Amino acid sequence: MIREARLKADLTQAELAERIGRDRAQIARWEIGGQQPSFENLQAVVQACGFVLKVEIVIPEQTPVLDAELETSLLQAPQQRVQALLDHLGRDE
Amino acid sequence: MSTSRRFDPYALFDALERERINYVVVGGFARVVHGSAERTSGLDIVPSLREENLRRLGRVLEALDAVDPDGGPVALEKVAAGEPLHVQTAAGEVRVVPKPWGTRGYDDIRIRANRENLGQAVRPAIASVVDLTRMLEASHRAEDAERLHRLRRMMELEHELTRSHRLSRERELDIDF
Repeated sequence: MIREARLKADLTQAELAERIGRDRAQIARWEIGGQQPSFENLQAVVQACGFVLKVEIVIPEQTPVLDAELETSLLQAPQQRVQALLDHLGRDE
Repeated sequence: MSTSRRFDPYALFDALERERINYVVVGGFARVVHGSAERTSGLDIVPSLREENLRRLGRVLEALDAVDPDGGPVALEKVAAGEPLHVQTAAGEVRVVPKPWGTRGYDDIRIRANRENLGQAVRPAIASVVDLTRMLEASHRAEDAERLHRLRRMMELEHELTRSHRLSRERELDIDF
């Protein structure tokens, strides 16, 4: 999200770092996921890019087909999951 | 990953085991082992970058008749330099990734990896769901957004299933007493 905001604002990591008074390396760590920013830092970064961070609480989208696939797989042992994958690949050939 | 040769992960794991390669499985295959029910037809591995390990990995790729899909030579030195290597082998595609997005490579992810029993006496080290999520979060590819959504939903459902299993066990114990 930080990278997305920075690129939308056409800023370099160094420029963004200067705007929020942090090191460029800190921006890089947040962007590559080496470290998670706090909510306050995320808000500060987004604002420094000229945007507003909007947080909403929503009911998750229903995905019955995906859920059924995942539930079937989760009830299997890892060995069975691999076998199911190989069976699918065999059928696709 | 797509492949023109039949994907045989057991043959790949056997070959890696024979040369005692230190590696962790990541990518689609690792997510499938955790339960993501994706389609993938190749193996992504993060090897230890120690010289001897890479030398042995070179022998494995040679034994598997690895070729560069673009026709060039198999350049394992790219891996030592931190670049990914993609090869086609007799048992399917293999991608050797020294430093997956959002991680610092083998030493970083092996500590949370688990050896999973995949049958046929194969127990490879599979990257943790936490690390697989980090990798997808740090990727900026559109296709990885869908994979991340799937992985997160899988974790939610796993949590729900564990909770409902625990509740039903507790009810059973109540009845027993």
